[in-house]
Amino acid sequence: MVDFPQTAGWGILRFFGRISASISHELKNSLSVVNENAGLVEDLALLTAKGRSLDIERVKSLSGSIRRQVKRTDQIIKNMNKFAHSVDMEIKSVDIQEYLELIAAVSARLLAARNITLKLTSPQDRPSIMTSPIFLLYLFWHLIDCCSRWAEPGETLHVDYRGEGGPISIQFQGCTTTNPDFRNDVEGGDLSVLLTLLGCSLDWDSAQPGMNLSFQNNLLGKG
Amino acid sequence: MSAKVLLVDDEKEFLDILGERMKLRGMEVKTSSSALAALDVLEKESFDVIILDLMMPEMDGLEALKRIKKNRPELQVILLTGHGSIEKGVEAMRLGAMDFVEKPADLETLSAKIEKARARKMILVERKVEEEIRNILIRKSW
Repeated sequence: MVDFPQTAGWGILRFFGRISASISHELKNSLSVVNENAGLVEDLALLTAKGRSLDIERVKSLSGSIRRQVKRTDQIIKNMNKFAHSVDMEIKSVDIQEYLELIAAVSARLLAARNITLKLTSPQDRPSIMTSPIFLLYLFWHLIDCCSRWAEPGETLHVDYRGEGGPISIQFQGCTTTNPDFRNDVEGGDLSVLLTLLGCSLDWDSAQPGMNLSFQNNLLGKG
Repeated sequence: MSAKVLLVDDEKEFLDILGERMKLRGMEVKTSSSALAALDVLEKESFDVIILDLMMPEMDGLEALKRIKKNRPELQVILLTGHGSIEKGVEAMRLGAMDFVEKPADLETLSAKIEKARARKMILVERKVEEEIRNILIRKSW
């Protein structure tokens, strides 16, 4: 069994906190729309009681808005639930694309605040890997957080996942800064611990701005 | 005369519905879906109060508040937020926000704060006018 060292403790707690805060913010926004819709229905009911004719189409559109927010909130909570359950097992078979999509979803608000677009591309087949779900999410988040923090507002971050018939690699491209602090930021924190734990390596692309995350083997040595 | 309000939030549905409800209560309302768009609107029109979301893409509410207070110090700003942190609240007040309201907001409470903001702005504008008149009288005195 892999032994997860304490040195990753604080960083991962902060990661969990930031994701939780972002999710709670999204939920509040959704609740605010529902609250205003409910308030407007009340306002229209009061006006109707005072003799104004009821606009049925308006009421239908308010109902539609509430349904949209319910759907939105449901998806947010599904993501939150998936994220929360990533600590259920230390090692399990993980669909990397699914986890990239999860991190993209829970980071959406952060990326929007920085005015950064995230574009995920993936292979047709979706190989799985035996690894630690929570530390994988933490690693993805660390790389996306650093890239989006240093990218220029308006830039698009491309996360290109390759794995057909060979070793799995993920390219993170789009952050064009030449500031050396960007590299220090990426390589700082818990990165080296995470790379060791997850059995992967991170290389900087010399041809174009970006980096390549490669998975050498599954944890536990199972192929 | 009714309060003239600028509503700023990146959630369009929230903006539209809250705007509609405020108009039903007799307020004159304009909306902007970003802080940058709001700053443009402020160049051309005057308002009694701005209701400003704290977390928005491109420019957040605190940065927008700083710029508003620099150019229009008499304009009253009420910040709306889904994050209720004390630190953000303190920072907002320090930068000159009149109040800080957590989402989802109760419209009756918000309306009362808007009236208070309008009254405060009127007092500030009156003082400014008095100051200008005093200065004119001093300059012209013989």
